[in-house]
Amino acid sequence: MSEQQQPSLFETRTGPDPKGESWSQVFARRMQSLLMGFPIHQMVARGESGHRPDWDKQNFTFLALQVFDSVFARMAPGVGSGATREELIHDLKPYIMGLQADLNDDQIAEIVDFLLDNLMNEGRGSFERQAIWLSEEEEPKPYMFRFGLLKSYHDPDSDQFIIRATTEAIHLYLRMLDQPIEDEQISNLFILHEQVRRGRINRARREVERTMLLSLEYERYIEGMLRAVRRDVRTVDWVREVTPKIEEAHRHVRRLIKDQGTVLAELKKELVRNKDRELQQVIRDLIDYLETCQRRHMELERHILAAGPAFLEEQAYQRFRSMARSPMPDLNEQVFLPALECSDTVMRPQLKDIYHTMLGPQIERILDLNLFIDKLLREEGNNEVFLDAEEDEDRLPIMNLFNPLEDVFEEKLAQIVNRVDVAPVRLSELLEAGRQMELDDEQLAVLGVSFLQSYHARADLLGLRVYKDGKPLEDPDFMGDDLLIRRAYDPESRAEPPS
Amino acid sequence: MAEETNLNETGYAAGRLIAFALKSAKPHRDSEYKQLIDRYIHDEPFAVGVDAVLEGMSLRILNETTQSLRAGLVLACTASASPFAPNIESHARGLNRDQQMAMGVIHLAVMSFYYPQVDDDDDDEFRSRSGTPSEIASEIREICEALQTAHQQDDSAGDEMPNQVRLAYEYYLSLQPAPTRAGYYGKTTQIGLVHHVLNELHRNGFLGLDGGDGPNTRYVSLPKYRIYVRRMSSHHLAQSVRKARRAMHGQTDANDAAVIQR
Repeated sequence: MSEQQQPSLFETRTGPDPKGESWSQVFARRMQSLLMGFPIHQMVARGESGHRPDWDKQNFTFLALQVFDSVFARMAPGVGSGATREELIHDLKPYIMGLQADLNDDQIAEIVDFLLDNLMNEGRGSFERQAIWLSEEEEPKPYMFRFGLLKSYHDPDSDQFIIRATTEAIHLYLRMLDQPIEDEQISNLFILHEQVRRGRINRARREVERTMLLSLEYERYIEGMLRAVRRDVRTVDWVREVTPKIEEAHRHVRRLIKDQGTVLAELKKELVRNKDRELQQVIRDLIDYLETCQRRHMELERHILAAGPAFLEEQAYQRFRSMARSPMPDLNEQVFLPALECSDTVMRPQLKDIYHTMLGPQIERILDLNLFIDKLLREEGNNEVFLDAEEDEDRLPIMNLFNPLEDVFEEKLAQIVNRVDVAPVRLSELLEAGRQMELDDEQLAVLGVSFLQSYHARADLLGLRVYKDGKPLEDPDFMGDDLLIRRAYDPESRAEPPS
Repeated sequence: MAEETNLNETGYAAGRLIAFALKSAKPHRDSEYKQLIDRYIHDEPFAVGVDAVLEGMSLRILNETTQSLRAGLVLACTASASPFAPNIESHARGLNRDQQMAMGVIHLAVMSFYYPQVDDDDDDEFRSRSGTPSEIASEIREICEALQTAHQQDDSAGDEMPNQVRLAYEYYLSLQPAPTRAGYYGKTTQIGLVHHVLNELHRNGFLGLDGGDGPNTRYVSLPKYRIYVRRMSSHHLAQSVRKARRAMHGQTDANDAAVIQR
């Protein structure tokens, strides 16, 4: 097949919807796309081959990218615009110097010329490569594919050669613009939707292939992300780092499924409307493709939804497991549970150790009488800050209940208690006596509590006993309101209490 | 290298000795403590090292004679800022200001109870008295009354007496002498406060128990107490109290007047 028969690479971009590409056309387009990076690779291989020792520090891939950036930036609207050789030298000089500061202007110009020579379409730079063309019978047939990435025009106005990028270069560059996969998918579905809506079924077919590939890529992307999270699930901040990602992925997949549903509905309408049998077949293929994509996305959604609980579980598991490696023991598993099985004699010294380790050093104050007496008899006004009474009260043990109260109260208490010596008294009568002595409610409460402590034989705080039906009451939970209280007698004296 | 090992060993031994002293260990019960005290007595560089470590902790050893050293090191604070210095929280917790002041006078009176003569505390052969809280409390009551009398009779002696001491004995005398009828044995009675002080002294190794239990516990003084009392003997308040005690017993001591005027 001759070169003339070869379809223009971008022919399908313009004009009415063609009848659809044959497989051989699709194949040729892809092959040429694949070849388009070759001039750069070849140039890099030549530049870095070491035949120019003074270039050994230069990175020609990087410089090629800078050339394209520079040329695109100077390709303003208008036919004649582009970059001149001098402009390129000016733009690339900082980058070349950055890698090799000792190069002079001539050497820099030489490098730029080398770049241009290899990327140009004409002269030595023109790129020629054997490509394969598939015939209608799917037989491979070789042909020569000639192209370049840069092209120079003579501008008569300035009498200068202007360097512009070719369509191939733009195509190549477009593919280098690395868009986020999510955005690609959204735009792809939008294009597909538009094409189907306008009846460009043959073009839609190409877009659907892209949809398919993008959905595959997205699946890999999400799975990769989840795998990365699983690998160091212990170090990941689940709530702050992973949850937003998962939520975003979930939103995206839901949107994809919804958009694909819209396109599918549109396609199904088109299938009913379109009478062309050939097109109907194409539409059915499209529906098949899209449904596969949709199924894949639904599967992905399930993965994403399950990821949350699964990883939280994994995280919890790994957190517990990691404790074996950390210096802090798992207190429940390693300390408390084994301790329950130990005997007292085994456990006691260990508990003592733990207690002392946890408590740290304690300072025992020395009762230095000299200092202490001075402190006790210090002059007022030059005293240190002492704990105020309130704070001291909090520290008092419960048995010293009377301590914070006034001495007057204690006198009254003694008077009340003296009544018991005369004859057994009921609690209500004792409390009444307290009220007559103008004790306030809190003091009465203390009074009551002190008597009630006498419920128990061991609780002889006041030397009193509670009697019920002539017998000492031994029930500390007894809540009777009118108890008889009498003086407890020394058990050694064996004297019977007066009845 | 050998020097370093030597230094480490000395440091460790000094640390052990101070630890024993801090927990008021008994040399006759612990051979290691006994050996370390021997080393402190005989090994001059070691003694200097121990003293230096103690000084760093604002502590010093009160024992002055070899004989008293053998009974165990007695530590005292060199500054009230020492981490070991006594404070109200550690030894007079829960007492109000009046009770604290009374406690100060009780401490001084207890000293004069056990060591009535100025040189009693210098005499290693001195045989300590023993007393129950109620005996001591009643004697303190008499001392306080004597102080009061001296104060009322002799203005010059009263001038010597700090206001706190006056407040303290007045407070003490205002207290109910015996436990309340309720059997309450707190710090609002004379015996209660004395008992608190004696118990505090006992817990810190100044007094020993000599039979009896509950309110009838008898306390005797221990060598450590004598060392402290000796240190306190030049304290002007201690001298006032001792003088009051002698006046109470009709004794006079020419030295006392001289000391007070100084």
